[in-house]
Amino acid sequence: MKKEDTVKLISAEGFEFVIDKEAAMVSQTIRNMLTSPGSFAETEHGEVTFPEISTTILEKICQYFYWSLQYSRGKETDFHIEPELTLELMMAANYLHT
Amino acid sequence: MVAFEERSLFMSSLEEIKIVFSFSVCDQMEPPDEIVIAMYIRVKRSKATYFIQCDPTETILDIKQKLHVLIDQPVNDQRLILMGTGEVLEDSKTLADQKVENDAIVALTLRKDDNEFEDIDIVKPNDFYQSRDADGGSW
Amino acid sequence: METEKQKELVSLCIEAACESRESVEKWRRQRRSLEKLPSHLADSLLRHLRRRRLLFPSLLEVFKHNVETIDLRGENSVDGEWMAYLGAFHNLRSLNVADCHRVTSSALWALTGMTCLKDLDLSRCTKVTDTGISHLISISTLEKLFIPETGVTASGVSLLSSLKNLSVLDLGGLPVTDMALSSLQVLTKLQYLDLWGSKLTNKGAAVLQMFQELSFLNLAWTDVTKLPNLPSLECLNLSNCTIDSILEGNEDKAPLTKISLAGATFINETEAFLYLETSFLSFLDISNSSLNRFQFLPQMKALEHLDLSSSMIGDDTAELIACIGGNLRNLNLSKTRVSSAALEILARHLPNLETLSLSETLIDDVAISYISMMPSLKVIDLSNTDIKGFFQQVGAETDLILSLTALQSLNRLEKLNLEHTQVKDVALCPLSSFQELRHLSFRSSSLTDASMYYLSSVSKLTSLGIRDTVLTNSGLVFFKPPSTLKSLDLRGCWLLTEDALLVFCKSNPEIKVRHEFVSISPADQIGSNRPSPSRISSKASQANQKQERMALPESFVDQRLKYSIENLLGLQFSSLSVEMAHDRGETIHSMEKLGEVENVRPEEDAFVRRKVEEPLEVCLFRSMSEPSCVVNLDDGGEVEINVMASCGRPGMDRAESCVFDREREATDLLLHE
Repeated sequence: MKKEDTVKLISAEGFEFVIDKEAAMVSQTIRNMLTSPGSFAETEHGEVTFPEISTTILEKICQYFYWSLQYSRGKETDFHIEPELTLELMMAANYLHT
Repeated sequence: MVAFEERSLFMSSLEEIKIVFSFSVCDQMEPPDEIVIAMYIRVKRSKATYFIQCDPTETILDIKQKLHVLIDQPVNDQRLILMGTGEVLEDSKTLADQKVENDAIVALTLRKDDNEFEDIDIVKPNDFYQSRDADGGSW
Repeated sequence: METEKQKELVSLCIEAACESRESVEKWRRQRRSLEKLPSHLADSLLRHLRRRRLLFPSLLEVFKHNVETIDLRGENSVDGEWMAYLGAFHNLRSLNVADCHRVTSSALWALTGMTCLKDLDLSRCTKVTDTGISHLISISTLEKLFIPETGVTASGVSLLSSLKNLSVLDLGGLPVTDMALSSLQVLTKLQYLDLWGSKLTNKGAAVLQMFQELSFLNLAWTDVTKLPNLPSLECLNLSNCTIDSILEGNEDKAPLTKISLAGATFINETEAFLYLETSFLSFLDISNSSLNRFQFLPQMKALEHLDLSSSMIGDDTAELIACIGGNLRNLNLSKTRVSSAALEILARHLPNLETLSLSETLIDDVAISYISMMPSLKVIDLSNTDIKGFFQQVGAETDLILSLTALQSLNRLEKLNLEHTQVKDVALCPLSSFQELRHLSFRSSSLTDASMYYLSSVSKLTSLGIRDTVLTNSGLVFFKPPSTLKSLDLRGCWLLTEDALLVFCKSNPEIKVRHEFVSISPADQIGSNRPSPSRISSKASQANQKQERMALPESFVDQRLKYSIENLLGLQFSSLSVEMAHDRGETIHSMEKLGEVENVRPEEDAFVRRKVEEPLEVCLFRSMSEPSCVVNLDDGGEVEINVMASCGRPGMDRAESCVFDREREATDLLLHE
């Protein structure tokens, strides 16, 4: 495991989530940020800030990334979403293209 | 209607392409020994969360070594506590031994200058979701 | 493929949000989030709520800021209260309340002054009258308006002249007069005009020339006999009209791509196609028409879809079809006099044919070897013919040559209908090596347990109908269904017992079984071809049962057995409805032709919609028991047919217009771009 293989996602409230790049790439938006160097200044430090995404939602998003990796590799579990999170999570997911 | 027939034909040929494509992708990207991400845990301290991919057979020491790469703290200065039970995790034991499951939250504490470990410090976000619980009716 | 496809988080969220009434309560007060919701998310959330039957008027309120498209088709609860909420949707562009029978004229008052609404569908809202139209004319943004089979009269139609942006106008089944149409002349943007069943005459038809952009016109079931030249016309429906001349004129000829002349009577047959530019024509329906001569066919080289069912075509004229050549994909020759001799000619000239219907023709097993020479065939209907499944070789020993073996060369064949043919068990032997066959249907009392042996090994079979056979319990036990099988129709296999069926259902839970005895979640059984667990309702099951009861008297007669029908019925169906009998013959027949009939929107209590598989035979579909049907075409799309609403008119016209509903969709797409 190398530090360069991870990326730090920062929520609106300044909470940090360090996840594998591989997981972050589940989001098309983040994938674009990470694979087009220079165009997104923050990605050079391996950090992406999401001022519009709250901490609870960002953590849920990260959990989804990992679930998605597991799911695509044949582990069939359900991804539980609390109903009160659905609207915000839906919008974040829409933004992140995941 | 004929046009629609055509479309369905077209779609089915697209599907075929997709199948072929997905096969080739599998061949390239997934060498057989790296296929499985068995599980991950969420290691939390203060306002930071580290998502660590791991396997139930890995020991706590293995996890601490992974953390060392990320936070630059020697494994001896790390202490991991399973949040569900409050149990301090032992270096020599495996995740499975200590019932650390997929998506589990594990608190990280670090050794202070006085050689003692700090108390568990996980900041709870005070974002919209929690705040609404508090003032539920006003929405 | 499907399960491996990654589930997107957005759709997972929408599913979670629509899990139950309780989950809705958890988010419906998150006003700030709801206001931010992008409209495409709001649209799909609303759609999903509706599908899950969780939508109620006051919940609509939370969507008023962002929803742009609402489809409430057939939602029976939609009434004035719903409309009041919908009227407040200030970004609403498209509203579909077709078949919402509680929508009245006064309910439409809520829509007055809407500023974004472009597309409004009020089809078959029978309580909408001229008063309702007077509310709508304040919505000057309207571009598409559908008011077929409503209570609107000629004077209401005249009011529409103030909606200057209209490009699509569906007035099907309304008593539109020549005068009313004349008042619409100002609508110069009209591209799509549906006037089936109107009171239009030749005088009114002359007015049509004023619509210079008109590309779609439906005049089915009108008294129009002479249609003037309309240079931009692409799709024309003159079904069931008496035709004197079509598009007569020497100016630019219309670039017609689709024409339906089903059931039309021609005054002067030799001139029928005289003024038509047919070189672009891709769709032609002349089923059931009075045409005797088909000399125009060889010119129609672009034709892809040809319906000649119930026409005068025969072996002598088959050569003319052959001349169309390589573009032809779908050919319907059912209920004609064609025999195997015609197939001999067609086989050599129609290499790209995909769908071929020969139901109720004079063909026999010889035809099968010719059919096997058309390599692109996907769907073959051989029902109600003399097909036996083997040749009796003259002079040779008693060896049977199985005729279906020839079809093994058709490696794209997906669907084969052999209902009401003479095939016996042994004739099914070749089927086991059909690689792509997915749908197979039989109805024959000569099939026994032995047939199940052959059917066990059809590798990709997803739906199998073996109705009215003398299959026994041991045959069912012996049956090893292909792993792909989703649907098994055993209706009329009356020797099967309830216990045996239950055991089979239990050991094959993924297969939807249809039989008179199968009562466990019967709604499940309806979706035989495209089963979907979310489409279940008790209403649907009732419809299903009704259908089965209708089929009973026929299917339960087996002369070789000593039981009387009365005994059997007394045992099994004490509640057989007698009144069904009068309508039976025809309805059952159309059901058979149509193959799988399935309920699609069980959540709509009051009327039952059905899905039907075949694209072409749809036109013959007629049922008096259900007011509205959805016909599911091969491409996965849906077309609605409303049968009852035709008000005494033969069911054909709605079916006709169904084909043209597709046109409407196509036109919609076109206009969007």
